[in-house]
Amino acid sequence: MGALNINSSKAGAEMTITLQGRLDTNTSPQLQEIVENSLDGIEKLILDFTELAYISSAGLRVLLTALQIMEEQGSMVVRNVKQEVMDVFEITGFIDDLVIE
Amino acid sequence: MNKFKKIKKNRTVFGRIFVVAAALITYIMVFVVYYDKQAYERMINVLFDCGVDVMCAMIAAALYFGCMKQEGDWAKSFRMLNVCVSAGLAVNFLFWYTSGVPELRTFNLILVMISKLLDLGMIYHFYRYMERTLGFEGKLFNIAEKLIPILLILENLVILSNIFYPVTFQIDNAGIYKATSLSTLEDIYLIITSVITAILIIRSENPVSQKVAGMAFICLPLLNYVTVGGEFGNGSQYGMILVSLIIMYSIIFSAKSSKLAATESELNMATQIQASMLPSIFPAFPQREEFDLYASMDPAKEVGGDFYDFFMIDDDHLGIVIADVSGKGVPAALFMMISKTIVQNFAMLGISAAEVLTRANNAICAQNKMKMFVTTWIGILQLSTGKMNCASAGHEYPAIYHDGRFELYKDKRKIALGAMKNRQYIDYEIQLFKDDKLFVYTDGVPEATNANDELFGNDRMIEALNIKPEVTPKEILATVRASVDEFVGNAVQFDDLTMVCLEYRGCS
Repeated sequence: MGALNINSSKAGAEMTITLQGRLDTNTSPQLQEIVENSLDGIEKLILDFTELAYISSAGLRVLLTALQIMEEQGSMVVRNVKQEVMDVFEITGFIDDLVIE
Repeated sequence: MNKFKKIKKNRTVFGRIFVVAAALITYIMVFVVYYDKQAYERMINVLFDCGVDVMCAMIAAALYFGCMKQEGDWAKSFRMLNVCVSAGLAVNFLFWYTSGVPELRTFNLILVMISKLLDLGMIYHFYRYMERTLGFEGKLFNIAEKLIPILLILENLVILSNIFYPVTFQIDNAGIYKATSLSTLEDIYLIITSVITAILIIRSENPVSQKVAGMAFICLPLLNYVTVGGEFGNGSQYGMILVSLIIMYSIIFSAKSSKLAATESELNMATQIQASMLPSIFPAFPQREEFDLYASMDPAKEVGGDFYDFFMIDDDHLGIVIADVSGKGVPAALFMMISKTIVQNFAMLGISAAEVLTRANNAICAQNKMKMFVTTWIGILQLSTGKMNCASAGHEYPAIYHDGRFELYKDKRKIALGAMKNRQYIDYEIQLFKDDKLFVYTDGVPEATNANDELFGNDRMIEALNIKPEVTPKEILATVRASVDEFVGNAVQFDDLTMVCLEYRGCS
């Protein structure tokens, strides 16, 4: 069982969330909480996936929640996606709807 | 993960050994005292206490075994409570046996210390058990959650400090236990935890009978303390604790168990309803010679979020659907039933596969408050030509058997149904020839995980498919299943495992 470390920083209306570890059924509630409670007034959300090793469908669900919130109040960008995670985005069709840098 | 399971498994084994050992020790001690004339003389005044110890240690062991099969954290707390009590009784008896023997002073001191530490553990597990069964909440609970562990640690330190200096008690030169003037320090944790727990019990929303049962654990020993006195090593105190344990067991425990039993039978019904939603009679279309089809679903929990479906759209078109809802359990199962109905309804209109997904997506999005999504693959096979019109909403790649080998077909796809409104899905076409096969599955297959956290993966899956690719769809599924089982070994099935295999036999 892997763990997930979340670091978030805010600069004005821009927020960066850095994920490290695995985003799965066990760990996604951690991110869910931030997404549900901390996005008020944020216009740009940056998700840094440099150190994210794995994402499961539970993780995708949180991502989707974030995406839907950010579609209304600004934009969301996913950065530095590893190949393993990119494969998941590709298979699940998320690749078309996410802005990946 | 495996290590963790081992420790967990061992913990119940240790618990069993512990309570049995405690009962045995106290029982054997009876004979030791009986034949050891010196000890008998020495203990004449406390033989009643020791008798209580023996009886209670046995009841505690019986209680432990009585609730061994119960799952859940609350049952764990109750078992821990029993372990503390039974160990306390054994130690208590040994304490009396060594009390008043100057040569055994050190041993006696250690026993006193263990006994007091067990008392602390007992109070803590009582609090936990109450919290887990009666469900505490509010400000006081938040304070208690922080305060009680801190106090527990401090109190442990206070008692352990007696090793170096007689802070709260000492064993004098004659080997007799003596409390010091600071002995009330030992009771701070006990009093505060008991009072807080009592208030939380009274405030909690539970039937009066359950509250009374919980309060018995605090009130009975207190009553005993007032009437008999609180001398250390007093056996009747443990007797009272045990009586309250039995009261809690018969009231709270059985109430909890019957509630669980009800939920379980409802879940069983849900499993049956769900299973009956999937076509499960094979061969499904015995009169059709153009194709053979086999499908299976094994949910990881009682109810799953996967589904497959197949149906004749008209005399020349066969629809096949496989899908995987994000999430597990009852919510996923409900979402699955809605999705299955919607997809089939649109497919029956005779529109293209992509159009089915596009319309189904909008229908699902319109009523998707839970933000769930369902990866879906649909194929519509024209039986007379072998042309299969397909579309994928974020589902796993299909595998096609052609020219003697299965290979993954990396199709074009869009995001899962329910995720994004107004998405246009894409049609693609697979041409099946005589004896070609199609294998679709959910991520439970490639993501089946073994004890080392390795994934089964698409490569192993294709390998498994190619072990004997020419056999019937039913046998293909059995081969893949066997490979997955072999790979996974003893690890727990984490995700639903669903597979469909179609063999096209050509038009007669």
